[in-house]
Amino acid sequence: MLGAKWCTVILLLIPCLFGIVHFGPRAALILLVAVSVAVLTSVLPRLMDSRPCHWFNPGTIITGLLIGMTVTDQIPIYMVIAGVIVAEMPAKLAFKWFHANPFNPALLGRGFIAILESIDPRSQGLSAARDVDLVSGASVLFKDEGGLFRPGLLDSFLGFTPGSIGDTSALALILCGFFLLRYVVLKREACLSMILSVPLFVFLLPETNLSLGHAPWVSNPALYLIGGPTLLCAVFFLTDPSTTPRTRIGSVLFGLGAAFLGVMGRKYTQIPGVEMYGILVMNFARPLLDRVAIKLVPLRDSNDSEPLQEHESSGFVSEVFTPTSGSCPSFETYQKKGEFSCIKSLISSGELEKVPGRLKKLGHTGRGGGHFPVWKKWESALRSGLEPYLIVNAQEGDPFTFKDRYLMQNHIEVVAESIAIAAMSLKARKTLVVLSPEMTKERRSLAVALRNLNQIPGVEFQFEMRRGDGSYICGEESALIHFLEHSYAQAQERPPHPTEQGLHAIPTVVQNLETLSWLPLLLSNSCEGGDQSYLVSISGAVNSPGVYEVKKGTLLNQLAKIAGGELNGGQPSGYILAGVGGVMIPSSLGAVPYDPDKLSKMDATIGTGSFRVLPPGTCVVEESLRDLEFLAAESCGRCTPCRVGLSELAESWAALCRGEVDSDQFLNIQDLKSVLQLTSACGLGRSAPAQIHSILRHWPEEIVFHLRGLNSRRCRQEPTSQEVR
Amino acid sequence: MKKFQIQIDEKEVLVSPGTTLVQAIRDSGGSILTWCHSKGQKSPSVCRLCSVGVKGMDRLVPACSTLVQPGMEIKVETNLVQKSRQMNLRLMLKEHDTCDRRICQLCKVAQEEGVPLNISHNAPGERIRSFEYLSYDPSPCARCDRCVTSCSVTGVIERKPSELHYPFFALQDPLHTSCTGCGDCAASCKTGALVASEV
Repeated sequence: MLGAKWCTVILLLIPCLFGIVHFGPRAALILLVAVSVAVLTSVLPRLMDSRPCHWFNPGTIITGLLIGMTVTDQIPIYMVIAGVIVAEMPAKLAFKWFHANPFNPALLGRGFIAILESIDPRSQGLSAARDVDLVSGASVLFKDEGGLFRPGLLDSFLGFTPGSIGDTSALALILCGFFLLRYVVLKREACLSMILSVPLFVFLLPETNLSLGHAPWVSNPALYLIGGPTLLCAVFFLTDPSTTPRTRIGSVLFGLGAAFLGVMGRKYTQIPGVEMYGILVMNFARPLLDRVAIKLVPLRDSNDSEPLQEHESSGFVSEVFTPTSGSCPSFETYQKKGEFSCIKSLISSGELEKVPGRLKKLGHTGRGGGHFPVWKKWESALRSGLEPYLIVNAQEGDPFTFKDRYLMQNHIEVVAESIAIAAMSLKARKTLVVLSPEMTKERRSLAVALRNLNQIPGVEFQFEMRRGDGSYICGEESALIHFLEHSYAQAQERPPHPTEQGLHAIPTVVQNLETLSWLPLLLSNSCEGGDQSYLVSISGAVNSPGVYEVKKGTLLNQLAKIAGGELNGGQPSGYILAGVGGVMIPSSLGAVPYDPDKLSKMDATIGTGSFRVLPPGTCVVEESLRDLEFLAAESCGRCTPCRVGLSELAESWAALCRGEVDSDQFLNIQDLKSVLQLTSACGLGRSAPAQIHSILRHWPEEIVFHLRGLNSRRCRQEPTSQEVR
Repeated sequence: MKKFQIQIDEKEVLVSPGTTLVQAIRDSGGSILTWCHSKGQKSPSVCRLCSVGVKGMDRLVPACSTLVQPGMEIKVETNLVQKSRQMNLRLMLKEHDTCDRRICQLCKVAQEEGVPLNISHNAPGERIRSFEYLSYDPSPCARCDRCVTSCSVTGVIERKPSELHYPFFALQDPLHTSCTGCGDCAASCKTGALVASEV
């Protein structure tokens, strides 16, 4: 449970403690300095930005300890500090930036110390031996180069020899290595192959005159292993996951190579600390080793038994409704005033910066479903001082909303102008217009309109047309941003809100296309009554379904008349407002004005502006089941209540439709519904049970009729619900 | 930054800004169940088991990622919070088909919370997806994103929307993945779904 890296830190303490006991307080001081400098260096960039920082990162502590362990207790402190800084700063930061660092950072730091040692006269003065010795006659990587000291087997094994702090005791290293390999690291091959092959190479490679200058243990395989730096290198540097090969065979080759280079170096060259360079060379060869390994043993094809599949968006293309009729008088009168009159006058009078303030006075609210005041979003995004992104969401994942499509088909100039006004008054660094995949014609015409607009003098904004996935979840701002970043939609936890940290962590304003389309009308005062009209997508049992402009306060039962009257003239059984996750209102309550404030008293919203007229004799339970199943399929699957709960709710609701639910089981449905509303991460899960809520409120008898044993209707088994009545 | 007062179950508690509700509750001596949140990491807030009530909000908030605000009144030990926690646990168990009872923490937590287990057998399932150093069994997987947040390299494990929402190894080929095989994801897994494969 502790995590591999923390376990490594604890295991590293074994040889460290031995070193402190053996070498005394100065060893403790060096280790302490190394670790604290490493920790400080790693948090420095965040500290300078005064961002909250995570002080104890196990990786940093490991690097500090390793560098401390590979130096002697006599080393000048400044060298330790410099080495640690090199390991932490250039080596690790480069890893962060480029996502690939071929070299082990601790070894790079140690290499830098080696350079310092070779130029600092003090380190030579420490040694009584010849010039070959760069450090005090002993360090892990330069162990006993002078050959002054002739270690015994037992002494070397227990560690009572001179050397560097963490390296002398083979016992401590073997103990530590055993736990590390058995319980902590996954890649054991490199370490084991190095330890096993080193004695072999020592035995096989012939002696030469060159090796005379070297330590006496070089010629004895057993003493080489326990007296030399092999163990420390193998246990700690060859188990680092990020610089060793990804494949098993590659790791074995890596260990063999490191062992060969090390023994070769010891026997035939006089380079001090040759193991270190051997490992660095092998680090560099890592990709090559992986390639060789895959050539040698091809990977198992794990895709054969593979039930996992990439997501295919459920789309809902088959039910996309193309509006045939509609009327938006405000837009038509505005267009008669002349092309782009609003943006031209805004530019000539230099009033673009005042737009957020004017929107605050007008009280314009969003039309994408949330009814959030537009100025609040803009103000919050502008507060940071960074140029925000503007995302225009015209995806309309809701199958019963088609106002954006209508606007693009009939009033493309107004749409383009509104996008330009928003982009320029927000000083957006880029405007992304996201359209659903089936809006092919609209995408082209909008792109042309935006490009033409950009050629008008004074108008300047960057835009990009993006193809969305048409999913319902993309109505949630954070999910849309996630889609633009990762090409699949997933709702994110808020806060931070997108206006603070949105696309690529830059403040982002996400607005629905209709919300923006009202801007030129409102700003040029050509809209009668200010923010008092809504575009409503009227569908269902009406003669001419389409998009209609509706004044605030129009009664709900008049909306059907606007759209050509009810089909066949019957009294509708109810209305569904606000789309799939919306509310149902019985036609007996149809005298409610279409007004967000008045509707909120009935727990209703106007949402995305969709209005469905249910034909006479509709079974509301069955009607809501269709929407529930749609929502369950569209869930992004991130949080538990929505992923599991919503599909369970849809299943239970289907069982209710079939008359298989008794009153006890219905209590479970109600629990599930309240958990969904209370604990879901985003609006999809929270609003999904809204129709059930309305049925419980307005049609409680319908539920009773569907319960098992009580006048069961079994809707889903009958041909149509109308025939049942 | 100055400390301020919040209320946790009618008890006044002094907290410093920037602490999460989970920390504040635990510092005040209370206890709260968390699952997907691992210490020292940004919580994915996926499991929703730590949902608590905050006065003035019409929904519960995840305590693992919500930060304290002056004057907050948090309700932890209420019937509603307990009920929704149990319900969410039950939902998590619904996807939890098989598991090794010795490893699995989810079954242990469920038993402590009094949520009935509906697993008929505890034999480990067939490991269907194996990486060079890791193997994955989807049947005990709780889809909690712990492995996703534990991974320090971006793009190795993601939970792409597949049919059943498994965490997804973005790239399989060791040559082209940035997975280093550090084993953090396997260590973070509490159900035994993701384990380091034996040699």
